[in-house]
Amino acid sequence: MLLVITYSRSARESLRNICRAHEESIVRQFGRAALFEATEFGAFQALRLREKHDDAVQVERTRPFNEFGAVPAAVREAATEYENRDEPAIPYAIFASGTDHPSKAQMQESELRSPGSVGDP
Amino acid sequence: MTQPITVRIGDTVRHGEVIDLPATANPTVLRDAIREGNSEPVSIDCERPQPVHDHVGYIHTEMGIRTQTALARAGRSRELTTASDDEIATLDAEITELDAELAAQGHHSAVEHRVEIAENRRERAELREAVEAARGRLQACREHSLDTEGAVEALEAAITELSERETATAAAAEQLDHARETNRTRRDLREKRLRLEDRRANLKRDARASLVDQLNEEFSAAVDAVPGSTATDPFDAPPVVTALAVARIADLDAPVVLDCDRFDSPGAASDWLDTPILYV
Repeated sequence: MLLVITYSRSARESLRNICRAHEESIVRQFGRAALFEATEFGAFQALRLREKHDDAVQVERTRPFNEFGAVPAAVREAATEYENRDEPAIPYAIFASGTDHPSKAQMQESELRSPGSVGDP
Repeated sequence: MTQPITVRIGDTVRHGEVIDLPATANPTVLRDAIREGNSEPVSIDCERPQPVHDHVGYIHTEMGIRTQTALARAGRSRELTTASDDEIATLDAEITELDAELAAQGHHSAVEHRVEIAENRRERAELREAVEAARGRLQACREHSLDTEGAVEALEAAITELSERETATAAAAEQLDHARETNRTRRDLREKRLRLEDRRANLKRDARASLVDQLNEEFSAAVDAVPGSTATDPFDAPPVVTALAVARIADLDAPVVLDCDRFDSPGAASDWLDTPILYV
């Protein structure tokens, strides 16, 4: 899908107008952002917005998130086990210390495995 | 407190507080001349109009008017203030500052990098095929015990070209990354600006409501006092009545172009409005 984010009042207004007029091509709208369908028509609307409002419009292409491909098992397990912990008040750092769970810093430094690199057409 | 004005239409010059013009004078041209000082062939020498003039600068029977906004601006022409004014001024200053910061930063378009990357990828795919083909030819030469020198050279050339292309792609991707990073900082500023603008818009709405509230009684009385007015709800009066009432309440610097027959004379209209007029 195409994630379209607006950064000015006029761009936000244009986005709302497009969402109203082309409901069938809009997957989801949130305030000043929206998800357009990944069709040429969705791209057409996104490009129109960028043409009109220049850098007050950001367009990103999303891809489905498959945690089994993109995320190491240790991270998935840590998430599951932390959410099912016995003591709700325990911070993750303490929960993870002395275990095989990755630390917050380790996870922050590790980029997700990606099927392509930045700028994938 | 009315100031005399000077109107020039072609070779005709009129001067005074009440200027009665022939029916051939185009009222919208007159209004534009008041706003811009000059609107061929008309030029008008008068004070600069205030924002309320946008609403009551040309009063006629076919007009429309946004009552609340017009009334609030009439209040501003009299220098009325509201509890929101200080914060609005602070936000104005902050937004101006952000604009300066944004302008200083400049916008790094990533379009060129995107074009380059997309082209590189297309070419890279073709070059990979070329490498495979060259490899196939070399293999065939070997299988048939033919001279491999030419095939080896062709394969090496294809591999070199592919590797150059890959280097270029990587460099472009890095530049794009860099541009995205810069634009992220820029968007942080824009996001902040948008929040401030939204806040300011809310405060302006509050200010408008407060000004309307302050002038409510005076406005009702003015609507009642408009000659021939039969309005029961002052906020639901015909636009021309509303405009006359707003113009009466406002402290107008610039003249009003008046095209309605509610007054006995142009002088009576000017007295009632307490403002210089151009009567057509």
